[in-house]
Amino acid sequence: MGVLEVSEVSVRFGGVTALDSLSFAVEAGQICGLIGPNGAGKTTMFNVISRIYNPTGGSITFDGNDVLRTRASTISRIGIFRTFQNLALWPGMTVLDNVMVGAHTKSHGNAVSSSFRVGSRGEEKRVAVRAYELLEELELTDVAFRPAAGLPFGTLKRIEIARALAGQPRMLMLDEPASGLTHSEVDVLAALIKRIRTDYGLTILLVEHHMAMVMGISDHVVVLDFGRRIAEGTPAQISRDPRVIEAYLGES
Amino acid sequence: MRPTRWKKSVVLGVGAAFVIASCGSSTKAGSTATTVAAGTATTAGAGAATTAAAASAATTAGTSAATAAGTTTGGTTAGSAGGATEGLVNGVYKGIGDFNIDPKKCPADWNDKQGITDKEIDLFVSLPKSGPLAGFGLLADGASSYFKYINDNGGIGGRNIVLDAKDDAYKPDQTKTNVDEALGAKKYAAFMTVLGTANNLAVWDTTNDECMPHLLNGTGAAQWGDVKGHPWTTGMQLDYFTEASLWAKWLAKEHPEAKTVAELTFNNDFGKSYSAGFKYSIKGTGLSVVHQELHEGTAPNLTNQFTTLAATKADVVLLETTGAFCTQAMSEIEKNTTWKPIVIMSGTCGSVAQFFKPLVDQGLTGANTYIIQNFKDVNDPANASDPFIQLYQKTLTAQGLDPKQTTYATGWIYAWFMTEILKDAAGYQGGLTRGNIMLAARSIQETNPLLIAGLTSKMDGMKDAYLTEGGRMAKYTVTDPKALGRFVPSGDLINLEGQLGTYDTVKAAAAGG
Amino acid sequence: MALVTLKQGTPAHRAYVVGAWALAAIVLIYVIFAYRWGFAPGSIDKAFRLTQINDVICYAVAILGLNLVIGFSGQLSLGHSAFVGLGAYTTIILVADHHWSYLATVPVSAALCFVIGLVVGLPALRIRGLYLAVVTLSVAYVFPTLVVKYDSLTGGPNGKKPARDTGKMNPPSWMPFSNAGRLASPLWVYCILVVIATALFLLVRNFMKSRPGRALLAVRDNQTSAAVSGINLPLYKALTFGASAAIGGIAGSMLMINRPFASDVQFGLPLAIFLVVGLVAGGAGTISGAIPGALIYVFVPYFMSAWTTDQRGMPPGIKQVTKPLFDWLQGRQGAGSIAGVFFGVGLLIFVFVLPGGFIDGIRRLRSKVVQVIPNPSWLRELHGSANPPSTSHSPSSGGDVTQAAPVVATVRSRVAKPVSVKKAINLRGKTT
Ligand SMILES: Nc1ncnc2c1ncn2[C@@H]1O[C@H](COP(=O)(O)OP(=O)(O)OP(=O)(O)O)[C@@H](O)[C@H]1O
Ligand SMILES: [Mg+2]
Repeated sequence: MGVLEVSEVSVRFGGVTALDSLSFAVEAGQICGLIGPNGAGKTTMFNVISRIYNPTGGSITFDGNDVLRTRASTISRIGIFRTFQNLALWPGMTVLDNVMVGAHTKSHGNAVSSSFRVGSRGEEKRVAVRAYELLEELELTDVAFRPAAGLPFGTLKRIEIARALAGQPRMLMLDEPASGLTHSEVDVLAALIKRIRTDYGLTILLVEHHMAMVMGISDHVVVLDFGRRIAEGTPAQISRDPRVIEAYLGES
Repeated sequence: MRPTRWKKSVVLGVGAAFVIASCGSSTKAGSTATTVAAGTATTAGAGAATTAAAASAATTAGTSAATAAGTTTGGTTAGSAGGATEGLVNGVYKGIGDFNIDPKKCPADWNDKQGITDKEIDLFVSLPKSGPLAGFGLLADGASSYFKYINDNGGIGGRNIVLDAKDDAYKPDQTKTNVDEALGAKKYAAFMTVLGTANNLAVWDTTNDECMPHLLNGTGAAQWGDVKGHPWTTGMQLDYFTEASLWAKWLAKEHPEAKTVAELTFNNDFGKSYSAGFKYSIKGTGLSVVHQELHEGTAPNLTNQFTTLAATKADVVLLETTGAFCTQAMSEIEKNTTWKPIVIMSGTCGSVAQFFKPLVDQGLTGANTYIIQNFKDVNDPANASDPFIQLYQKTLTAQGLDPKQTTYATGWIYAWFMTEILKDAAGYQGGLTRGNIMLAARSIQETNPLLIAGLTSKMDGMKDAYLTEGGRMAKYTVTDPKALGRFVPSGDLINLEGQLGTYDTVKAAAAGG
Repeated sequence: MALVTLKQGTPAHRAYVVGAWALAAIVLIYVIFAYRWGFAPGSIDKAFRLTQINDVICYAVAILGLNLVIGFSGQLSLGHSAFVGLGAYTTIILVADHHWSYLATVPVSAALCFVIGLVVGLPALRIRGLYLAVVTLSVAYVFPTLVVKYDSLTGGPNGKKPARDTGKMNPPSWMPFSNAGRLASPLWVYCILVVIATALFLLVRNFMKSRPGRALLAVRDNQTSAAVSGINLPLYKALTFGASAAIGGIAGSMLMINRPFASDVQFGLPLAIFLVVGLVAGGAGTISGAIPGALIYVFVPYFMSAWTTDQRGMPPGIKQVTKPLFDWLQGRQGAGSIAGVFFGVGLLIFVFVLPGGFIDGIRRLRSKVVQVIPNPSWLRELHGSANPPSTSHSPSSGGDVTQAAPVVATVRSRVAKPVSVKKAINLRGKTT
């Protein structure tokens, strides 16, 4: 039994079948790579888990919680956080504030307590300190007080990771974290992902086109093509799988 | 990525809307504006369209034959010569009709000579110069035109009359702001012709507390006869209550066969004022109101009201409403083939172009609708030989203004009264002071030369607080159903001068039924 | 770069902050004593001008409320005039008909508007952008017609005001200006309004600087990631509408305290539009922008109108240029509308020059003079307590003392940043 169980999930957009009865499981503490050619349905899978899209069928459980009966705004409360392929930061806010919002579910200041500053200051400070520490960890302190708008792509990707970590996730879903990075940067990122997995005891669902990285750090890999699972196994198994090779060759 | 783009588009949109709105409103106003009875517009309240229509259409200009007019210098009060009895006597201003002013009741810093020097008399008016009713703004230009004529001919004992006009866009809160500022400036002798019922109501407590003469209000509400509660405020127009009284008198005399009356009443002060006036005046006649239909300013049409009204088969129907409702009402009546009552309509809907033209477009005419008129139409060829109208035409042309614009003529009516008040006040004990201006305003005896011949304009202190209380019924007569018709006098002049007394009469009538 | 660089928390910075607040306080207090001290720029010792200044305070609060919805939560709401009107009528009806004291009506206005605001905000949960703008605009449109419809309560088109002689608020005798004659009442109103407005500005500032405020900005900037971060979008949107309406209602009550007269046309579409104009011109999404916004709303049309009426106060050079225009306008219908045209054109120019509003312009100007390096107190403590600093992780992480953390210097500036010493994870990405 995996901590995340996806079973027979289907998603249609008009005539396009983005996910076709997809099933897979992720074990707790694993890094699970989710790969596939462009348009295979990887991001769609993320969006279904984070309740942005509604599947036409199937079921998803996370640690015994029925994910499909949870709303997008409460999915973080069962411990699932994510980053976005095309970035979804809040450009008008500072980097630090972006990360602090990541801790929204882990703090309680409400409109009244915050406006009148009754009992909210200690918590504010705690959240700020924690967010700053995450920025230190991701080497982002030099932009901490700058607005997110206008920062380079790679920096923004890391800010997204920091934001997701601020929510103290149990499972982290990373959508193409390595896109736009140089080779050496990718190596650093790979190390980081492994490290946070261990440090924070995370389960990680990783979507990535950078094969070396996926194969290097994943414990388990699920391969999608046209919304279907075409292969599953350890990185070693996957890299030998003819269907996978065909899917990738067929694409390119 | 910065969220400024949406802000920018919002502002651009708003900014552009502003320019367009400003231009738009001025053009709209430009096409209208003929008025005496500005006050009615306030009461419409059914959105800008109705209000604008009401206001622009409001006219009481008559179409009657020429009369020998009084001259601008005419007019004599009991004691405008040196030995006047009115004026400041023993520290109290004593006027006619028991109207007195004790300056000790005024604020400590009240100045009797404020706004009055040897060279100048400063007056103030707040009225719309922008917005949908901007057309009324010409009233101030008309008044200034008459004052210029007076100033060019010696002024008031060598003093020039200067009228400062400020725009309030017909918004009562803006009127209040303007009036507060004008009061604070401490440079005006008096306010005149503030337009709109709500606008005047918004400020009259303050003007009275400040002992500021607040004269010749540009609205026909009956409140301006409240000489007890608001001694410093006077009106000028034929008020709605009296107008409805004139309807009753005219019916009793000209149509003794008519017995039953149905009312269509705008559900507000304006409509109810007519209704109260009519009911007050039919006591002792054979007339009786058999049904009253109220309508709101938000009513989309009057079809239901007229289904009910028609069922009464009343001999007479009164249209106590204004704006586009007048046109709708006339249309409903004309389309009814079985019910043919005598139709009497508010004088605020007298503009042929505004209210009868849409009927022609529907294949209707509005023929045989009656309204009350009390002022001469300066554009009527029949009045061409009227000496005062000739003076008006000549003076405006010389000043580069268009005399066909009847709002200027309305301005002349008000300015004429104001000039007479100032002249009279100058002759009182103590000379031209604000106290005497107030006394003079409450004791006007001169007949305005633009009133239809035979009518009078008098005030008598505490006894008669209404200036014009007469009129003549006119019938909208159509010869070619495809063209516009004209109002033709019907019946004798009816002059109720002095009969209404004060606002107390109106209040009692409203309370009594 | 800036002439002066101040680091947050240093004595110099503290002096700068205290100085700025002191200056604001002096300006506010000066208004009260201007009539005594003789120096009264802009004739602030005149009752009428004071009433206008009081108007500015009221409209600043109204814009502050509107900013919550438009500026901070990014929802284009154009119905704010209705809430200001509702607050105003609540106050004036309670005062005129039920003999309440003005101040007692303020919480009632706030509560009533909060509830109505929630209800009006409901469509905002489903629709956005222009559709929401249209829905809220219709609220602005409907409000005056409701006032007219329920005229027995509201006074209808004739407006509503308290009984004569009971309209004014007079200062208690211990106030230093209680015997200032005609100025006593407007000055007292000024004091009351300043207190209410200051409280509201501080509350909104606190709110925006904390968890719910950040959540609001997140909802504005990206709803999807806000939701995924656990922010309850419907709750925030609805509450924002409610709070915005409540502040608008308080602004309405304040307007009535200043000038106890309410009429339908006062709270119609023009006010709705002007509030948005004030908001954008002052600076959408900034708290202090409400003040220049209100100043623009109250004074620009006022002076425009004065200029176009008699060209009073028009600078001599411009006067010569514009004279033919005004001569031509003289005696024409709707001549007063030229003020509106000028205002609109002026606004367009303003937006092109300062797209971020007045406050943004001030900030850009200020950044040329003073640059403040952020270093909040918790950060100073963080570094002060562990120097050399260490990265202490949350308890669940089990700690990670093996890593060197970037030093304080990283906060200072990007240029000054030393090359990272972090060995285990060097993840500079493209920042260098
Ligand atoms: N909101 C949507 N509306 C319509 N079609 C969609 C939507 N989202 C995704 N799709 C379609 O669903 C399919 C899967 O898309 P998805 O983004 O999940 O692919 P992906 O595997 O993430 O690809 P990539 O590697 O390019 O990011 C594609 O054909 C895409 O066009
Ligand atoms: Mg994708």
